[in-house]
Amino acid sequence: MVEPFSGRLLDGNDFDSSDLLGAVVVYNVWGSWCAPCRTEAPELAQVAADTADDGIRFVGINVRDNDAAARAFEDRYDLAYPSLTTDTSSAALLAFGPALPPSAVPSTMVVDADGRLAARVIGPVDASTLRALIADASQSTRSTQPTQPASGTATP
Amino acid sequence: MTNQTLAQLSNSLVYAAIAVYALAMLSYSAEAARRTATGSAPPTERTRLVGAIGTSLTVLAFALTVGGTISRGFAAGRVPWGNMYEFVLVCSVAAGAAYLAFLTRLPVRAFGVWIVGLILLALGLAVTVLYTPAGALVPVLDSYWLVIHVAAAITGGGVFTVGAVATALFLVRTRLERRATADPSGTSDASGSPRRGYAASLPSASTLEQVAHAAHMFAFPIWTFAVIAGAIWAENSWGRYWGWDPKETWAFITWVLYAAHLHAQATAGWRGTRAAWFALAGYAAFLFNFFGVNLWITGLHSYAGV
Amino acid sequence: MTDLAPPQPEQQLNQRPSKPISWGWFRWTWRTLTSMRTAVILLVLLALAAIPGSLFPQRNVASDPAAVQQYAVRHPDLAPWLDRIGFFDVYASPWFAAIYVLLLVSMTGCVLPRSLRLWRAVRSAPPSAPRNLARLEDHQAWDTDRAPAEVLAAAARYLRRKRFRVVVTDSEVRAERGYLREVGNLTFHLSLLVLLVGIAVGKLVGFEGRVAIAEGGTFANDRSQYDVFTPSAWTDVDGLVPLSFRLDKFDVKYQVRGPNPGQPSQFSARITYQSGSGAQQRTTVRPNEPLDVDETKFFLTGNGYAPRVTVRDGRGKVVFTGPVLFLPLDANNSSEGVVKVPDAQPTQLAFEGLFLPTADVGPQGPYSMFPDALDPQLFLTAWTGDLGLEDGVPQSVFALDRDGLTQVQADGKPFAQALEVGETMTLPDGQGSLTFDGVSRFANFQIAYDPGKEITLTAAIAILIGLTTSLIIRRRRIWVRISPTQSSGFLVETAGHSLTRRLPPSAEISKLVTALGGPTSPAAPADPADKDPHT
Repeated sequence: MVEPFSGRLLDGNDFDSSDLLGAVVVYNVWGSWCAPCRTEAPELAQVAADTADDGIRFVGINVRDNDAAARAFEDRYDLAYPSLTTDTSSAALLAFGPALPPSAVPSTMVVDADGRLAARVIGPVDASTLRALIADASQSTRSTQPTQPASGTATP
Repeated sequence: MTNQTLAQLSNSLVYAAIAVYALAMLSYSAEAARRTATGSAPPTERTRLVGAIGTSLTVLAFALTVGGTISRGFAAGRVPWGNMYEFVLVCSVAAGAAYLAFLTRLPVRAFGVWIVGLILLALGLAVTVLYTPAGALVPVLDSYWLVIHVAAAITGGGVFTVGAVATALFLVRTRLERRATADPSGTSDASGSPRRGYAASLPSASTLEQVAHAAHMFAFPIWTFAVIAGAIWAENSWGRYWGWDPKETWAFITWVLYAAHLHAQATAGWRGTRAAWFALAGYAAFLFNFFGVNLWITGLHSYAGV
Repeated sequence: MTDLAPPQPEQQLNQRPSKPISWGWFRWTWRTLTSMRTAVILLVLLALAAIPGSLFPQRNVASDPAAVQQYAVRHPDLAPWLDRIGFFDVYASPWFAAIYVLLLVSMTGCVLPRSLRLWRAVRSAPPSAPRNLARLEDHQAWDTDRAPAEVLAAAARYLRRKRFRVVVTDSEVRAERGYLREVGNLTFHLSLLVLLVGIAVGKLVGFEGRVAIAEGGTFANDRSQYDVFTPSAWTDVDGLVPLSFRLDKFDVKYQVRGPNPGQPSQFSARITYQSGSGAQQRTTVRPNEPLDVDETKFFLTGNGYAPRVTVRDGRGKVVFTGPVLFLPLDANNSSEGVVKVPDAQPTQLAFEGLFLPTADVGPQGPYSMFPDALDPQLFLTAWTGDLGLEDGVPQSVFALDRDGLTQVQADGKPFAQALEVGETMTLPDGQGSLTFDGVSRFANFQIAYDPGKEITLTAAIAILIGLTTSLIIRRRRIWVRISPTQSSGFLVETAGHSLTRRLPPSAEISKLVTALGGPTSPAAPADPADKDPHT
């Protein structure tokens, strides 16, 4: 499980991970200073745009950065999804500890609708890998869903 | 008294100690010369007197260095072994104390001229090359482990010095005794004990060996403790207890060589002279750690300040 | 350890021709390896082998990681050879390992049989007296007319009170004490093995890391947050202790008066930390006072300045605002650093130069007079072009890759400017600007986790106790024998024997003699100081 965590976003809004329960969430750890983050940013932007309609949510975790530089990075790569500020990212990083921590910049974690860590990619991720991981996470969530309301009212 | 006057008092006491040690050295040299002339014959009353004067002067000079060290500590507001000048000063106190302590129980006055000579050399270096004004410590040295670790290293060093002098004299004396055994007719008297020369005036090889052995047995565990305390401090300060920093490496080399010496003492055929060389090598490593590493090699200990 | 015995000729003669590998040779090799002489040689070799590591720069050791490369640049002919024989990594080299492994085998092969012998000795009674007691140390004899049993009982009582182990027979008392000496000796040697276990655990499971954090910056104990992270073979990289902290303030005090002006007198890093899901706590990390969270320790090992700057790009947008770490170059904290602004548009921007906490300009150019920030200034030049980050290859935040960059020029010279706090340098042609907002400090933390260190410490303490015990305690035997004389009385004899190189306590036997009503020691060992006629 990934522990619930909260923080502030680069756009100034507050963030609470428990608000996203029920959706598959892709978390990406990044920094504007990080060269590999630049190669994966367009791919993340693309997949985020393509899967938004399926209810897949993307959240960035900005680390070891300053907010102005991070916003300039979002601006350059047209990242539409929100990111946690460096100052409030510690809780997010540690929240993955009980499962698997990010361990590198960049890292990408896919969390399923039940708040379980489904996949972790250390280093830059490419679009096709990410799509496959999202699909797996959605699959596992959907397949486990029927068993959850197992209180006897199950219908065939 | 202000710190400034205390620091000046300390310097004056150290200079006075150097002067008195120089006089002690003169007396001891005169005594050694007289004994060399008489060899193994019992020394005259006058020779004894000259030696006794040397010892009295040594006691006085020792007291002066103790005073210099204490006033230095008050001047700096901390233990007086925070830089190399103070380290040498305190080490000469330790060597003097070890010598005088041995002198109350064992016949080591023949060492006097050598111990006092070494102390003079060390103090001379301290006031000329190594002198640092009394001052506060850099933050990383500000730890009670400084008190423990450095005090142990200094004590060990002081006693090792007595051990090294005894060992060196043991080698000199052994050579003479061997020659005497090989050639009983020539330079020796009827009992086989040699008559003339400096070596002849020394205590017997077995006495010298006994002193050296006692010194090494006393100093080796203290040195071990100094190394362990240093490791604990290093863990507390740098996050690792051993990092092969040059200072650590030479402390290790010193320890291993003295360990080799103690083992050689228990090895058939190596006991005596051959084992003695290991002890001298250990002392050389200690000296190198003391001077060489601080002055020529940069490492984590080099902030100790010259 | 056992003394070396030469190979027994019979053993070699008795070799069976059918056996190509003879036991004799094996035993000879083993006995040689475990002999004291070999141990001494190996000890000396170990000492010699450790020397090059202190004279040549070492990889993975201590202060300066670049030292080996620098040495290689200065000695291009010698360095490759030294590298080949492992002189830059002495303590991990095969030959160094070979020496200490052989030494340990030698020691173990010697100490284990010795432990066994000690075990037997402790369980067996002190041996009977040699026939000729007169040849032993401190032999004394006198006539008595007391009953033999009475004398022996008195002797036994006395020796027991002196904590000897005593056996009484019809004709003699056998006593021995000082078994602890051998126990200490064995403890010492066996603890060396335990010490190695502790070191091995640390080397296999622990880790070391480093991170530099500016005031106001945060750290979460995840590998991604480290500047340098050195795991061991079995480090649980995904299981680091959950901890986060913020560096609230870093304080430095410098001496302004006295003999060493500019020498720091105090460093302290005030932090707010949170361990696991616990509450936030405040603490101060100082040199020698690390933060310790579940065995992971955070040591304050360095510091420097992080000037705060704001960068606007060619569009006038703020594209960077915050502290930038500048690395100190000298004792007065002249520092150098780089500001990279990869998302400035239309072109990427970079600034490079010096930060001087107490700036002055001398004939050699700008320098810092004092380590504290009394008159802080930034001396910067600017670059535009391609920072080289887009190809995805990580690069240092402290250095510029100048390949794709051009230096900003003004009047045909590199554009350079000295900034005080609050001042702005505006690049020509509207390419952007940099404002010097203020000065923060940064702290360097060394992070270490070594689960083996308690084992090592315990072993080290046992080594010290064992060593001291074995050097202090003197194992010795005392015998008291009573035998009938020609004239109806009895002869009492006492003698001692030291099992070590050291003499037994001087007056031990004479006191026993006195206790037994013997002659008041004319032959008691003289004060050693009297032995030499010269003193």
